[in-house]
Amino acid sequence: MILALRISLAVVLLLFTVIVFSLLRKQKLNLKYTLLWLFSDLIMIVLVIFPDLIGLVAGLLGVASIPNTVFMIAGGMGLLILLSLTVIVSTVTNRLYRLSQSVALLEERLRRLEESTEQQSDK
Amino acid sequence: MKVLIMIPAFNEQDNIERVVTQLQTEFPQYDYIVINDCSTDRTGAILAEHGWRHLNLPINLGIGGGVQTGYRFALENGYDIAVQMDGDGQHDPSYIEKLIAPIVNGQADMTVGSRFIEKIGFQTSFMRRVGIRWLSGIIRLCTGLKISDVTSGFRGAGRDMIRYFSVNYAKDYPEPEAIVAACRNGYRICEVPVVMHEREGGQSSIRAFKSIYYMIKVTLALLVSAMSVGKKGAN
Repeated sequence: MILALRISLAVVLLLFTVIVFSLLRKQKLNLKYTLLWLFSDLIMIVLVIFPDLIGLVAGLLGVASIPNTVFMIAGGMGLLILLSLTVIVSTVTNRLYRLSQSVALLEERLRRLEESTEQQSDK
Repeated sequence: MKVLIMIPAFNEQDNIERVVTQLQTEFPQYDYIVINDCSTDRTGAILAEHGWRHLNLPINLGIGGGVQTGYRFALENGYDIAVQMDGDGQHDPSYIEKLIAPIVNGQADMTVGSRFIEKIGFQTSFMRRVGIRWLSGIIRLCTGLKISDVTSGFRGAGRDMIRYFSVNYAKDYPEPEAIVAACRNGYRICEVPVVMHEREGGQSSIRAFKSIYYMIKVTLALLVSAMSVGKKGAN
């Protein structure tokens, strides 16, 4: 891999890592959902430090260009992260539905209770 | 001192009757609250049948979310001390007095009941002890604290700690994370030797202990906790 690409990737990855840890520190990111990001970050850093590994992957996948392989791996990891986020969104939506139903059921009980105490005091 | 015993319970139909009955009959000086974490078995029904004080979470939050609900309850109801006790009968309420003594004396904000100081009673499996030792080491690295039973759910918290935990409490691995968070935010932690029993029925919520993946995740979570800034308390 051309040195210029390695350096620019290294700078971007370093910046990205700092941002992610800063967000974790401020608790704007939950570690549980950030694991894939950190893993992808680690993979990319390893590839930048050991560029020969990219050649290996390129050969396996039948990709001719080294930079293309790098971007493909990054893109692949991005897709994985997006998929995991979709799973998380689905889970959260289901839990939100459940929570909303619970609120409705509670509201009915409360209303029934209020009406019965009103009736008691009217007597 | 107004003391509240918080009992998180998820699917503890085999154990919860024993636990609460013992508290009611032998330790009436303590208030208690069972936090039913959206159990799918008869736990909720059992609590309702007996008329025991409990909270029914509308969705499952896990041990972190459940216990934090307890801390919020403790804060809202003006308790001076909140004791965390498992719903599976592993923890012996006769040790509560010893557990909260350092808080009553003003020596600590939080106390952790440890099985491993005097090594009496149930000592858990070998693999879990290895894992606990590792986490203990990580916590020592992050905080300088020498806590031996870092996953112990038998712990006490004073007023300031209750206020902090009601706003900042880890969701995923709360037992060790809370120690780090408390220490990094200036609270004093003290370990107290206790004796625990083996779980009799049901299932532990920490089953993944044996996997390396689990250990990596907890370690990472502890390191993140060590560098995190807590949110300011409510009230």
